[in-house]
Amino acid sequence: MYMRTDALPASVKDFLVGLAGITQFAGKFFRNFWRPPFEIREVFYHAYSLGQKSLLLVGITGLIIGMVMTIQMRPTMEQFGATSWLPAMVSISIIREIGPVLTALICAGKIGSTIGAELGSMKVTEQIDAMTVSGTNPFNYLVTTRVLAVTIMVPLLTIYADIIALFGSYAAMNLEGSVSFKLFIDQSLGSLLFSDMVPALIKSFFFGFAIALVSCHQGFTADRGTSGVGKAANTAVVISSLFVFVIDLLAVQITQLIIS
Amino acid sequence: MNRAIEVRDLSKSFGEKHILNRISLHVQEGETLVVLGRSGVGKSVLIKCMIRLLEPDNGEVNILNEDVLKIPDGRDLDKFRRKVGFLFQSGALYDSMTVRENLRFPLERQPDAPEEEEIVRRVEDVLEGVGLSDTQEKMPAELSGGMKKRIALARSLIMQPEVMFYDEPTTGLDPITSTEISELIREMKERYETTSLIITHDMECARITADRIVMMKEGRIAVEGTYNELKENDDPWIQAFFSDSKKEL
Ligand SMILES: Nc1ncnc2c1ncn2[C@@H]1O[C@H](COP(=O)(O)OP(=O)(O)O)[C@@H](O)[C@H]1O
Ligand SMILES: [Mg+2]
Repeated sequence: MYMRTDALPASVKDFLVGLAGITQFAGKFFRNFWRPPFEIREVFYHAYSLGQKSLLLVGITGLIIGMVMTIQMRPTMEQFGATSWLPAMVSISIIREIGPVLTALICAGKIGSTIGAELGSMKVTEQIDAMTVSGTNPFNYLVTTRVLAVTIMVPLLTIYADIIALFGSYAAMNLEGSVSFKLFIDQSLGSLLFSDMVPALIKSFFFGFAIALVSCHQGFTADRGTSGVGKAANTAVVISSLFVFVIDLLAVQITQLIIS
Repeated sequence: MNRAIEVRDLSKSFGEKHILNRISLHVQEGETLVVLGRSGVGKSVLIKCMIRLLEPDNGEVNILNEDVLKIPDGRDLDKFRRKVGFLFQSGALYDSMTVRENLRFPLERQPDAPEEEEIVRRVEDVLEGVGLSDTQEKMPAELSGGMKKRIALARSLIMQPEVMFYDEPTTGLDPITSTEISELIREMKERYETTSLIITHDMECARITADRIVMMKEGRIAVEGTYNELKENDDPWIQAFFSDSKKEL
C-alpha cells in the first residue's frame, strides 16, 4: 500500500523509520550469524567487559529491592496472619517480574549507552566504513558479537540479581524476629514453580537481544559530527528501555495463554 | 593502455542538493589521477560512490573490468573491495586496537587468509615501507597526525590493492608532513605499481603525486591537464588553487 509519509507528524515518521531500521537490522543479524569469520573471542570479550560493568549496580539494586519488598509487605501479610507466606510472596515477585525487568533496565542504561557510544564514535570517525571498504564485514565483527554477548549476559545477570535479592529478603526477614536460613529457603523456593522460572528466563534472553540490537542500530546510524555520538548513546538507552517494557507486556500475555 | 577506472555520467543528490551532476572521468592502469576541488564540492561523495559506501542515483562505474554498481551486496562486493584500497581523510584507524592489530585486521579476515608467518612478514614489510617499524604495539591515540596517516596508508597497502583511493591525504597536516606524505604516496605507487585516484584541494600534493589532474566544479569535471599545463592557464578560477596552497605555506 502506498502511504503518504509527509502527512504524518515528524515524530511518528521517525518512530516508524526507526522501527523498520531495527527490524532490518535483526534480519541482517540472522543472516550474518551463519557467515564466517566467527568472532568467538570477541563474543567472550564483550560478554565479560559489558557484563562486569553492570555487575555492581545490578547487585546493589537487587539487594535493596529484596529488602524493601520484604519490609513493605510484612505488615500486610501480618494483618492476614500469613507471615509464613512472606518469603514465597517476595521470591515469586522477584523471580517472575522484578528481577528480569530491573536487570534489563539497568543493562539498557549501562550496556545500551556503552554500545551506542562505542559504535557511534566508530561510525562518525569512519572506522565502520574503513572495515566495509577493506572487504571485512563490520556487521559480523561489531554487531553479531555484541548481540550474542548481551543475549547471554542479561539472563546470567538476572539470575545473579535474583539470588542477591533473595539474600536481601532474608536479611530483612531477620531484622524483625529471626528465621533460619533453611526455613527461609524452604518457604521461598518451595512454592516456586517451574512455570515461574522458565518464562522469566526466556524473556530475559529477549531483553538482552533487544537491548543489544537496538543499541548497535543506534550506533550504526549515528549522525555525522560529534553530537551524533551522544545522541546515539542517549537514544540507545531510551529505545531499549522502551523495548524492555513492550517485550515484558507481550511475555505476560503469552505466558498467560500457555499456562491457562 | 587499459582503463583501470572509468566513471560515466555519475549523479548523486541528497534531497534537493545535487552534488554530482553526470560526472565522467577515467584513470589508466598504473596512472595517478588527482581530482582537485574546493571543500564541499563533493569530492568525498564521488569516491564513496565509486566504492559503494554511498549508492549513486545514476551512472556507471567500471573498476578493473567490473561493473561496480551491479555487483550484488554481500560476498561479491566484499571480494571486489579487497582489490581496492581506500585512505580516509581522518585515517579511520581502529582506535581500540594496536597498530599491529589494525594492520592484521583485514588480512586475517579474508576467506583465503595467508599463513601466520606470511601475515607477520607483511606487517613488518609494510610498516618498514612507511618508515614506522617500531610502532607495532602502539595505540592510535599515541600517534601524531602524520604517523596516523602513514599507518592508515600501510593498512590499505597491506592488502596489495590494484587500485588505491585517497581522500584528502594531506589535509590537516603541517606543510612539511604534507610533503612527506605526498612523497610517500608517490614512492608506494612506484613500488606497488598501483593505479591511484587522489582527491584533494592541495596543489602541492597534486604537483608531487599527479600524472594528470582534473578539476571539479558544480558536480562535474571542469578542466583537465598536467600540473604544468594548469599552471600556465590564466583562468582566475584555476589560479585560485595555486595561490590557495601557497597561502597554506
Ligand atoms: N551522507 C550525506 N548526507 C547528506 N549530505 C551529504 C552527505 N555526505 C555529503 N553530503 C553533502 O555533500 C556535499 C559534498 O560533501 P563532500 O563530498 O564531503 O565534500 P568534499 O569535496 O569536501 O569532500 C556537502 O555539502 C555535504 O554536506
Ligand atoms: Mg571530503
